[in-house]
Amino acid sequence: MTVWDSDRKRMRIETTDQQQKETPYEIIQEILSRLPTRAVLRSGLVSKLWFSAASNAYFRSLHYSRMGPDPKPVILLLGDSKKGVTSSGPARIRRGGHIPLYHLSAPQNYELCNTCNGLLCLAPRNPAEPIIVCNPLTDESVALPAAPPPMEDCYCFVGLGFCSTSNGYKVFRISYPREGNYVALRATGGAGVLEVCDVGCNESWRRVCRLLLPPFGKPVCVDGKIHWVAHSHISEDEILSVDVCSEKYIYTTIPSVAHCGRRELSHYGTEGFAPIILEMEGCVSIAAHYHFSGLFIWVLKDLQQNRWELRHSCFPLLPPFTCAVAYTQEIVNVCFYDGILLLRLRHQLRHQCVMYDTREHSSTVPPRGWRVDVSEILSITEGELIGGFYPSLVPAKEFASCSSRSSKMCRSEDSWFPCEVLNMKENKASALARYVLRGKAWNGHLYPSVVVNTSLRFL
Amino acid sequence: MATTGASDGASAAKKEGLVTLMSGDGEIFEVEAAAVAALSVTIRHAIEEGFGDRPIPLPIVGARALALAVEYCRKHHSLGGGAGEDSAAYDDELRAFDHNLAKVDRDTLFDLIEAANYLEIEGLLNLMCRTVAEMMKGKSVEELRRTFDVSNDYTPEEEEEVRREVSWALD
Repeated sequence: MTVWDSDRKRMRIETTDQQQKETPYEIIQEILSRLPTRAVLRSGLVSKLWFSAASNAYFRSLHYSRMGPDPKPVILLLGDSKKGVTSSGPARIRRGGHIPLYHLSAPQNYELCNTCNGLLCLAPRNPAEPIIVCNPLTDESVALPAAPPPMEDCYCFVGLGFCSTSNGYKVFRISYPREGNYVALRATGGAGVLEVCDVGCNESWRRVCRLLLPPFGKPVCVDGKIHWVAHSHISEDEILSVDVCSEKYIYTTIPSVAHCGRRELSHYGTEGFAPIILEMEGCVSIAAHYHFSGLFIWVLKDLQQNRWELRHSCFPLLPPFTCAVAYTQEIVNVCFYDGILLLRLRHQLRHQCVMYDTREHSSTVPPRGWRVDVSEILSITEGELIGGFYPSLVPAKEFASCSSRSSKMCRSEDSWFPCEVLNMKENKASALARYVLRGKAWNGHLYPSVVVNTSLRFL
Repeated sequence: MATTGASDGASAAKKEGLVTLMSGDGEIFEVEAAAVAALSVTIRHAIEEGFGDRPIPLPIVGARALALAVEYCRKHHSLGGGAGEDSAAYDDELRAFDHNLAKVDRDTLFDLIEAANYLEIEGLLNLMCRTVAEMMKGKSVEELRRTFDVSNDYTPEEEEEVRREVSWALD
């Protein structure tokens, strides 16, 4: 059978010298698929074969099904588009400085909404453009069907989440009118519209239900739900949690003390110190900044019971800014990483990033001076901080689990033989494909596993 | 069903419950069909395809790796360990056995991975690959090349380009 001519494995077996042995492609993949994401990327530097083994779609699915996202999250710093920090691809990240902060450049006119299992959800500034889901590590992206929002002149809030039941990703969009009598709307059942779209299925958007309170800012995806801060305008702020699988939502009240700092209730996001949502200890958390009391961080330990725990509090808030002006500082972003709290602040037109090390303090002890490492105060004053990004090789295009291998009949030259296709890579130039096939016993013969460069037909 | 590998009257090749395996270097193994078929998908398929009464050729599996793989199957089958660490029967004895098995030298380790991959013994493949993955921890790219006996086929420019792409993952 001429098909075996290009069989590297066979040729290797024929050489008796064990020292010359090259680790076969699928063995490299088997080993690398059990390494954390960062180590996989590093090992691509070993050789071209390793790089190719670690970068094809089959391997990414295999790695993701075995290892999932990297257990260590990173903080993303979203570049300022005014400075032209954009990339040719959908989005790219690179390491910056000596803290776990990575620069992310997103396409122009898009903003990052949230991250989920290593995927980014990018929403267009013009809501009629398509929403993009991408993996910045693999440069893969999926554009969702473009759909104008269901109403004129509205705010759109977008969030990506993972449904463990269907093993798929969904993007939710909440549209809310810019103008309206919110008090009256509350009485009539809400003016917001919640829609959903399954990622990678090429299906259109589905309307789920109407929503009462409008969300604010960016969501976090925790525990199978997408959570936003929601404004009531007449009473306390709440958390809107949309369950990704069931597509049902609930509102949960934020601890009431979180509202002391709000100066105005009617212009959220511009004047008042709205509470900020973040992920901490694997839970939804709220950072609330009070005029005179400083910063408080609450962790939602139980959503059903609405049980919150006060985790950190500090006063005076920010030594680099004097206490005298601290109350006019607004916290724009808060991220938590490995005991470090990274804050981006705005005071009038100035932005500043500050880093706190909270590890030396027990959870609820009042501040008494957090250890502030002044050397860690970042020079970065622009750009947005997004925490809780867990790098992974999850393919953006297909989310089907590859754990089940399927056997196929494959035809070469004149005969059929059984195999499992472990790996296939097309070579467009030669119109041949490179297959890694696992042999099967069939018709009295046991066919060996092979690597072939040819065009094959499958039954 | 035969429960021991050692056979009295070895000339009787077609003993009930035994299956014959032939390694790539031509060595013949007579093993309990039930034990290997329970753990090796490839052998199970081979037996289903009617190989039960003939030696099953395993062209890419060396005799030493095959002996160890069969030993793994026997142990895990007799102790009910099934596929691997996830199963409830994975107890201290099996853990100790796996731990010892993973202490083999580097070449045997790779031969075992290839054997486990070819024979589709999921638990053994997982055990050995994880051992190698553990070996890779904290190693520089240069050390990895030495460990795996891989020569660097990048040009300096190509290597720089790949390095730039993954720079965020390098410490």
